[in-house]
Amino acid sequence: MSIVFKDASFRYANSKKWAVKSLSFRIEPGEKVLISGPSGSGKSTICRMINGLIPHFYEGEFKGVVEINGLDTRNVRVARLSRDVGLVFQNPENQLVALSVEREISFGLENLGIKREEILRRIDWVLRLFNIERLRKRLIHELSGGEKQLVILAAIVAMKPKILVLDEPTAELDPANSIRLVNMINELSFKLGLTVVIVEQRVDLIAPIVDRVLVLEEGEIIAYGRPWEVYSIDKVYNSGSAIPKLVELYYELQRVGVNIDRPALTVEEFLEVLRFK
Amino acid sequence: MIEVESVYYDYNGHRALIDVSVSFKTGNIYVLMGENGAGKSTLLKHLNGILKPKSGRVLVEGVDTREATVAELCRKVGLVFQNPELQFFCETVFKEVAFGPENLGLDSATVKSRVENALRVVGLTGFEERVPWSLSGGEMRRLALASILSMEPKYLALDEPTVGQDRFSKENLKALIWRFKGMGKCVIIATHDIEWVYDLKPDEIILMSHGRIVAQGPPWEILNDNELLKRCNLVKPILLTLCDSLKLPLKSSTPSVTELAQKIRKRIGEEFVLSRGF
Repeated sequence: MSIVFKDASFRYANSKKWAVKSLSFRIEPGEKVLISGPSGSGKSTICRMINGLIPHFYEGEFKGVVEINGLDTRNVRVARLSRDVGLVFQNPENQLVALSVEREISFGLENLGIKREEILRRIDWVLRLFNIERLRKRLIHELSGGEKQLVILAAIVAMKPKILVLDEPTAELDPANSIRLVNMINELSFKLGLTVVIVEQRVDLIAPIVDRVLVLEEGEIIAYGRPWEVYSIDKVYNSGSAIPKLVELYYELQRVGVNIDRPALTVEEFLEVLRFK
Repeated sequence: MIEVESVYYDYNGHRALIDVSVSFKTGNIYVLMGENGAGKSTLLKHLNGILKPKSGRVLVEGVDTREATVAELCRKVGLVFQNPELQFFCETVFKEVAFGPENLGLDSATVKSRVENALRVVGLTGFEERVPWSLSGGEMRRLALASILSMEPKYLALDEPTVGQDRFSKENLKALIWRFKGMGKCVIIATHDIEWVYDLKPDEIILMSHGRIVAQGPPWEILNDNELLKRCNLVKPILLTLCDSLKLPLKSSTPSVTELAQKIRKRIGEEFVLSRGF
């Protein structure tokens, strides 16, 4: 499913500042896009505009058009949109509704009117997919922050959305689980043709797998393109937006007179540029 | 000093800390790392008495946490939680940060200067009259930090402080932690952000796994031990992986981006050839 923003702006009620200003961009079906930018630059606002929470739930002034699969979000109910758009919030605590892990995953499925046998099949599937079968019977409030994050993701993926919007999905995951998650997102997107929008500050893992990076500053787009293109732009480097470590190294090498065509995003790519004699 | 002695804790039978012994000395920066659910947050919550050990004991400057109230301990040990919005209850940012020092019985001039100072340090000057819940995720985390800093604790415990923080905020946080160290305070940080830990260069990294402490040592020693990292669901920082691949000598250090660029530049022509394109 495609996501299209046409000159879209939003200002929260009681705020003088526009959270996002005149955003125009397009995300094609099946693409993976990383949204980056300093805190308060409008990343979470874009997520809420994609799943219709803006303008339906958040009060404020909305201008322009946001289209999901060709449908104007202003004319579609959030309940309808949420069938296609799965959003995982920044803070897992705000999104958990049930007492146990199993109940949490079945909650959304029951609301979609899915039959009991299918619900059980999907629970088995996602618990295995996320490697959290051991948590099945555990109580939500006893889980660690990272475990909660995995449970919410599992609950969302169980609903088989067409668009997955993730607001800092690896924030509370340990590095091995972060890698597992990133690989899983890659796989899900490939297998199911899922469109994925990820907001993330820890970009070292995400940047190599996404098709494009969109960088925001003060609610406006300052760059949108392929990762290596975006990270070659000085304005992005100077913006305070998260930058992969290897891109920092690219700039540092430039400073000491070692010029490379474009930044590498993985160690393997780096070794293509710098070879042993 | 905070001394944790053979502490055991469980949540309704689910074991979270098993025989944990460690001490935190002033003037040092400690980082706690380990897999999700390893017990890091549970350990932090023992330091200011929110949780009391089910066996063993925790001594904060000689005082057993079971014999002191959380209010008493909070003056010495400031804990910034993982989920900041659960911590807010005042209607403005100013009041939120002023709450702690007001409860210490300080006069209003001192409270005001402490609030101003704390907000400045975390980069939230100008946000005084905002409603805490109207802030962005990253700003909320910095507000939570400011509300603890205004108490001027000697020990500062931070649970996942880099979550939602952009690059400049992370750099500021690093500088702030080092300033605390310089003031002779103690900072204890639980985090998964291994790339940031690499930049932070703490005095010690403490690795936890399944409720136990499995290793403790300086960053270069811990971050280079592949077996140990794997056991705790951790992954080597990307610059160390690069050093390995390029066979660069480390000499018991964790080189910064700048140092690494210098090392590479020196070796171009001798050991490496640079091909421009990809």
